[in-house]
Amino acid sequence: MRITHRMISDTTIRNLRSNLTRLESLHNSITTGKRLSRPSDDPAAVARSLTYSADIAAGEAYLRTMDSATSWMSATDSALDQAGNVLQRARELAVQGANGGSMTPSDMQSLGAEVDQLLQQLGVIGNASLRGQRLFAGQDIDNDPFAVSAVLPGYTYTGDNGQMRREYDVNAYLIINTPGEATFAPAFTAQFNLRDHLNAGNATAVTGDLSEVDQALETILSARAEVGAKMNRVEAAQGRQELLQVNLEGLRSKNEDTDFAEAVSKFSVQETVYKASLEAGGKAIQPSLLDYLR
Amino acid sequence: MSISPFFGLDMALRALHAQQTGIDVTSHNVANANTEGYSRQNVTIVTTEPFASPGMNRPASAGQIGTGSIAGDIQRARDIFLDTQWRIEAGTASNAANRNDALEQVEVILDEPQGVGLSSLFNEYYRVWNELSNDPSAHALPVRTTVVQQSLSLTTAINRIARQFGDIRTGLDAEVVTDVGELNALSTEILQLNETIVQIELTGQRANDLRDRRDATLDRMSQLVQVTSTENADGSINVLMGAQVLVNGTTSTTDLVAVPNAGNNGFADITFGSGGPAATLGSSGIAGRLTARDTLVPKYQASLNTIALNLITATNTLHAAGFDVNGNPGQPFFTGTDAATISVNTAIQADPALIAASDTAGSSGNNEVALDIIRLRTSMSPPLPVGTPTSETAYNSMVAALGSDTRTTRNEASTQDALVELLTRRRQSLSGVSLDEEATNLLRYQRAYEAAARVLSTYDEILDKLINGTGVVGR
Repeated sequence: MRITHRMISDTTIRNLRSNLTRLESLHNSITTGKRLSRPSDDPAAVARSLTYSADIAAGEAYLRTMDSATSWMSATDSALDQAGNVLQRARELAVQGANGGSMTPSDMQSLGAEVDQLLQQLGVIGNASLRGQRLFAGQDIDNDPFAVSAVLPGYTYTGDNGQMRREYDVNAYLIINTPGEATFAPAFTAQFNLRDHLNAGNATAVTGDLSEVDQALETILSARAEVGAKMNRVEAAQGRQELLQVNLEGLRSKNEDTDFAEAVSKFSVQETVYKASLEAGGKAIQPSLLDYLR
Repeated sequence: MSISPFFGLDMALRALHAQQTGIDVTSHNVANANTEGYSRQNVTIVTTEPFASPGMNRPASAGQIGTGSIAGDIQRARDIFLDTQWRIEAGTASNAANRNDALEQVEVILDEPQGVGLSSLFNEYYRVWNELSNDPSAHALPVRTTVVQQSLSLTTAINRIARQFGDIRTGLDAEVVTDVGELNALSTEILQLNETIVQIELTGQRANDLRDRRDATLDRMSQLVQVTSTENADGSINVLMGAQVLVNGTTSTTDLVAVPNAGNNGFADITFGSGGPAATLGSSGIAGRLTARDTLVPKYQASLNTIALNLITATNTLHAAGFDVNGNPGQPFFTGTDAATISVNTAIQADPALIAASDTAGSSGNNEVALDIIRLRTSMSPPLPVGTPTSETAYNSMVAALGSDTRTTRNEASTQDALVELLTRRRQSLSGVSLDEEATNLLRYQRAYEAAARVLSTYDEILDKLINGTGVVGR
């Protein structure tokens, strides 16, 4: 093949350009830390990366949901704990009142006054809230559900039986609220009766109230147990989700991050090639026969 | 009978002329060593008729005596088969390059995977709905406001992409119209060159430089549309696009016309002549732009429209089943019907309390509709038919399709480029100017010129002797 100087300079320019393009792309992947900068770099890997990112984002949302569910249930747990303490105290008073014989009516009435305080306190606990949202009002979280009443059953409930559901994993739901009326009704009624019987000095009836208080305590404790079990479930799910996040991050990174060792060594090879092509081009373009003719 | 010494003077003069022509041609070659489309030229030096011609009355000499040389012909080194091949491949190369350009623009617009593309905005969108599901009460107005704002970020990004897809197509259309104008100008140029070449070649000379210019013009034309050319006996050429004659020798040209097509956004259709049939563009630059404008980009436009419409329909259906914080039924959450028009209902923008997160009127802690809307992330059914891809799936496959389309056209373009490069080298190898060669030729012609000059002075001395030195014996 006949070679002209123009061909040499064209070839030199073309090769320099393609070497520089390769150098630039390696440089880009090193400085951004990402192997993928456009869909066409690796279409399948880019689609995978997008899916990983979406899964990671969804996972973060689930973690936030679990955090918020946990704080709701912790608040529920501590409210139920207080309700338990109230009932425990009511039980002690009931035991005193049931001993009856040695007590004067005014002694009984002072016990009754304390039980009345406990009843009022139970009303406050039943209206407990987290960030303004009532824990035991079903879905009607903006309004106090309980009011102590002067007649049996000793309270009025204005909440509903709605359940508050949270999605804590794909299509996995958790009911975070504890039904208010079912949990607190026995406690209200038991204390209401206990107070009235103490005030009336009726020791026999107070003995009967004792078992009612026990049952109410039982109801509160089993509600607490359920909350505790759910919190455990959330905690386990949280652990699993966090691990999954780490794995997904790892997969995404493996998929789209630059392998630095490889990229840097390729870069230095490419750099050498580029320099060599510059030097060779410079030498090949310069001379012609004219340099040697006088 | 002998030959006059004056005969030698003429012969030496012809030799000087012939060698000087060689130097002139060499000089022209050197001057055009870097001219695009220039083919190196060669002078053919031929011997003149020897003396004497056969005949009854021929002079009685020892034999035929040569009469020297003249520059017979100046030719350009060119291979028309190589030209034809180059033009076909260059057309295909610019077809692929134009499609690749458009696809790369689409890639830039989508800005995936590292930029803030739709995928991250979809993630954010579902994240804020999740926040709302955790805190659906009327008092959580900030959460509702972020739902509105994040949804607006998503819809404006979809709008922007839809608009930019439109811009790409409009840009391609403008380029097509410009290309058509350029092609018509090139046709006219060829017609004019044809006329000049015919005039020159009537005299028996070769119009080398003008032919080079005509070939270069044809090269440029072949990048716009696929052309073939045939040379007529008078030296003019006909330029054809399939069976449609763009340039008819020295007679006429037919322009391509860009006719706006109202049925295709007013984009131009290309016809052969005004009111003529569709131009047969072949595999070429203009055809590449048309493919990008009418097939490639619309494909992504359609995908994005489907994604937007499905999101609108599914979200609105679910939202309509809900109740806002005032206990009123949910209004449409999104308005619009496609990627260009999707937006958040302005009433909801003005009052985020109108977001219907609850499926029970007046139930402030109820988040069931919000949960349903979040569920769209993993399944569009219900409310859409089973098998409807989610926004994420549809968008990811659109990005993946774009990636492989771009990759394919890029490979096609670079393969084709390499082919054109190879053919260019072969053309260069044949037609290019080599300075080494020219330097050698220069030397050769110069030496011959010097020698011819010496011959001339020899004859001069002979004549001097004869004229001034003869018949002066004893003087």
